[in-house]
Amino acid sequence: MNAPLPYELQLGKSMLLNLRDISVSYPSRRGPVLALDKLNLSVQPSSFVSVLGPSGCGKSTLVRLVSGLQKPTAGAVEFDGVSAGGARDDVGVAFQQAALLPWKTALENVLLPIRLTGQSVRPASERARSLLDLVGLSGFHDRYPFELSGGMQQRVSLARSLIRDPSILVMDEPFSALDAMTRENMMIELQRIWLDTRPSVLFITHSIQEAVFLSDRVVVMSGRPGKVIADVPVDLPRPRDVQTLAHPRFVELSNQLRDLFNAET
Amino acid sequence: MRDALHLQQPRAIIKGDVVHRVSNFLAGFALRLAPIGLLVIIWYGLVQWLDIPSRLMPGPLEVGGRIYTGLFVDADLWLHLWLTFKSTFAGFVLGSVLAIALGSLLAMNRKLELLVYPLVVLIQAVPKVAIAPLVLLWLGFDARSTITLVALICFFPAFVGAFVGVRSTPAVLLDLFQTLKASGLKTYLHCSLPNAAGSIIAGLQVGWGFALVGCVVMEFIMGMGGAGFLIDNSANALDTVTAVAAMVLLGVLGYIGGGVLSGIRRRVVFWEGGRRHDQ
Repeated sequence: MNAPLPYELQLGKSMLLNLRDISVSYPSRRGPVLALDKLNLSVQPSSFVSVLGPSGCGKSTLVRLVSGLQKPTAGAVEFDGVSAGGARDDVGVAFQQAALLPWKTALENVLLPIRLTGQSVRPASERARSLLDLVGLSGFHDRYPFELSGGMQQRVSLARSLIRDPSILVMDEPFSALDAMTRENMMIELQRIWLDTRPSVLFITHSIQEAVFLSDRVVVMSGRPGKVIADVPVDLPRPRDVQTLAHPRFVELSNQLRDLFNAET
Repeated sequence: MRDALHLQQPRAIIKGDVVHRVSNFLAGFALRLAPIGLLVIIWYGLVQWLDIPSRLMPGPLEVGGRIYTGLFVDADLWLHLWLTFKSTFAGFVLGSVLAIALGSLLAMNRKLELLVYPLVVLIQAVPKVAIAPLVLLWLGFDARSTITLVALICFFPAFVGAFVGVRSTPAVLLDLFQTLKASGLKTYLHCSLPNAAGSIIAGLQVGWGFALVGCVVMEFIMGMGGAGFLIDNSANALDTVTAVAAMVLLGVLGYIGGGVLSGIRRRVVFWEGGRRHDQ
């Protein structure tokens, strides 16, 4: 269903993520509230899919489903065709906030997933250091979160989500707390990192610019209850850079998405 | 010290930095001593001006002299101070460890909280000093009674500190630990407990003051040594100088305990003061 990717693949580990007929409802005082309604969504191996939707459309619920924090009321979350049961080692999660432990240095925070498994962190610290370098934090390995800017903290968080070499990366509006300039930089950085590591990515955002710039496909969701109302392939060549933002095709796609988005809100 | 800007400075600055920090420390020390010095001066002035007889209220010079001989010449005060410190410290550690454990458990387990929390509040509502004679009756005239009362009396602040601290663990961190498949114990040790450290130590600081009260009350009743006994005994014998000296030393004990705890707090919970420079 997905057009072949128009550039050389450097496949790392990656998986096919499939959300099948997902419904999620929450109990409330006025009866159950339907957050997601028979949602179908798939992320091909090593592809980058953004989910774009108005606030309150259940985007964050998607993240909780894929990361194993929540189970769907109906339907299934499948990894390479196998139905999931809870959190998985091969899924990396980047939250809206950086979610760093303030008493641990950047390096220790990146190593946290390894430490919690009870393994020795020494074999992994080489990898942690190169991940920190990869996200542009060389020279900041031993800083504490309070010594880092918001953007830097988010980079540490990204490095942490990559430490176990995930096959799937789920990102919940990871740049939404950052200022506009930092967001643009982070967007370009994320593409570079993703081109290096190539996991399948499910990227939740409410920024049309981010969605078009980063994605192979942009999925547009309706307001509550959340459904997929459009699935737009992005056929811009990679690597994309600042010039891409002014590319006629970029503008065209952005406008198309904006119309869909506005029709919904 | 942990400020990012400082870390980026070249090494040559470090020497100047040390001088800067020492002078900062001395300035802070002087600032803390100033009100105490003022209090002593007022005390001296009042005793002189109102011509209060020494057996009612001795002046600071007399009390200072008594403390000096009691510590360094006759050395008769050490024994009492040591007794008081020993029981207070033992009870404080016992009460605080139990409080942190129970507070953490209740904060992490909703059902247990509903069951046990009202009980803790109910027990807290009874003034601990009121049950001192009962504790004596149950446990006998020895250190065990003192330690038990101290543990009871300093329990609540540390309990609340642990409960509130663990409960305030950010939800996103708990989510993170869940996606990493961390066990409850690991989540507690790596996340909730360090997160609660600041509020636990604040509870301990309050608890240390309470602990001294508990110990002194028990010494009043038992009359078997300790600073509390010394105050009671000396006041009855109209040796007011010794009573006030013991009182001052108790104050010093309380102050040192509080100081040690705030030192620990600064060191352990360094990230909470990370952006402040008032030290």
